[in-house]
Amino acid sequence: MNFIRQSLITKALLLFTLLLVGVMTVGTILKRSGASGISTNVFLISLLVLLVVIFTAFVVDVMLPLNRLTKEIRHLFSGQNYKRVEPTTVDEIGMMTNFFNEITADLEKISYDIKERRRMSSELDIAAQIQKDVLPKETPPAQGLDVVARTRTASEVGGDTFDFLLSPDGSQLFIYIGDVTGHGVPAGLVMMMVDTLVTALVSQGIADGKTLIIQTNALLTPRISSRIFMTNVMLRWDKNAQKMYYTGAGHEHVLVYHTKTESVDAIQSGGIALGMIPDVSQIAQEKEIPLELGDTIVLYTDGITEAKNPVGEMYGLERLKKALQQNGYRPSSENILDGLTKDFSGFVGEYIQNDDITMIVIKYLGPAAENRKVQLIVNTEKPTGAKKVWGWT
Amino acid sequence: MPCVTPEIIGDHTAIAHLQGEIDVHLLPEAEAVIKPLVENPALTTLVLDARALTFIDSKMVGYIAYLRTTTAKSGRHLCLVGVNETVNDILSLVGLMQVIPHFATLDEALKTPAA
Repeated sequence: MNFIRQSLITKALLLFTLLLVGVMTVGTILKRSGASGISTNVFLISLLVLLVVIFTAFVVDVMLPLNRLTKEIRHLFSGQNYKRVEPTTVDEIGMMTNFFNEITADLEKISYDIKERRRMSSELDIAAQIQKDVLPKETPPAQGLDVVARTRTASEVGGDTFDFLLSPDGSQLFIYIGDVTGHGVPAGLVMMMVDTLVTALVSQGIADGKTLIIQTNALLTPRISSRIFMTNVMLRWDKNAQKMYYTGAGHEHVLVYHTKTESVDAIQSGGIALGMIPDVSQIAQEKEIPLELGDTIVLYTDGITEAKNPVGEMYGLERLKKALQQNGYRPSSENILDGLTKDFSGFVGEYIQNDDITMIVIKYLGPAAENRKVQLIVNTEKPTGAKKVWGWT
Repeated sequence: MPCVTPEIIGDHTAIAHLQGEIDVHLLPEAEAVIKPLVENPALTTLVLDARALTFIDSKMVGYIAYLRTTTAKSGRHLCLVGVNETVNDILSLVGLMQVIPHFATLDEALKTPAA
């Protein structure tokens, strides 16, 4: 009998058959009994009872479930509160009821996901704004140097950082670049911690790169997961002596373009990344980078050397060195940066950006040069959809 | 072919034989194999056999740094064996080769007092 319950058509056929059998049975009985005087009334009453039974069955089994379902569908379409409908039949109406319940459950989940995504997107926007606010805006004068920095993040919150900090007595300018493993919120939080620590330590009067790296690491390491670390290179420009020093913390090479020989040196930054071990005092070293007039230092993050072109080739250190060799003669750091970024963008083309990219170009102009401020170019373009291509020029 | 194959030598030494390129996609598989070795207090030395390891990304570098920290905190030993030039460059760049003992051969690693 289950097949009858599963279909409205078979139910209708059943009721029609019931009616037909009822009419024929009553008619046959009346004819055989020969009581023709009461036959019409009995026939009509019997027929009426049968019709009432059939109508009641139709109302209970078809109309009421359909009414409950259409009422909730109207609520859904008109934006009113709707509720789940308990299926009472297993026919087409029961199927539609189950379908309605499934669809509305999915809608609720999708609606929750959309709300949650909006909330997270809003929080990411706030985090990205906070991070941009942390990046240097008021840059200190760089006596003897022409400095330009450019950065772009791969996601809303990036893991690359850089800053320019003047010691309290104004004699030392610290220039650093850092790259936290990965990108996104975890990397951004570590980047913020390092920026805060370095700024605080410089403001307290630490006057050399080695101590700055040791103390930043000592404060950072216990506060982050040992799987996350920041590579960093810290330059210290002694304005009075016109000398440049570097302290590495497991970062990429420091590139130096020598004007006199038109050659490029790639100095290993050395050291160990911040956050890996609690004490780096035996590893960190501050060394001088001898500079002559017109020499140029380039700091960069691995987003540049590990960038790939559409056929999967990496840009690499050698291409960057060659580009610097070709552009190092230019008169300003901005010109040199333009040359480097054009070469880089020409190589990677439309390749989707996977990592943050940052570059700092520092040209030594000598003590007689005018006192210039550091130039900053922060690409604030939100990296979404088609805008994620590497357009860096 | 699994990216990590474990081996226990004697009562106290574990070797994780690393293979191929281990990046962010294969790291969970590598972790699943190495984790029981790190969590076993009887194993006082963990040898990362990198002779067949061709490449690692920054996530795997982070995991090796984590292994170094975890073993050092519990007074155990971590060492690397047979690191090729590419992997050596990556680990040297971030400074890990300065703090993790490394050997050319497995025999050398197993002969050290720590092992």
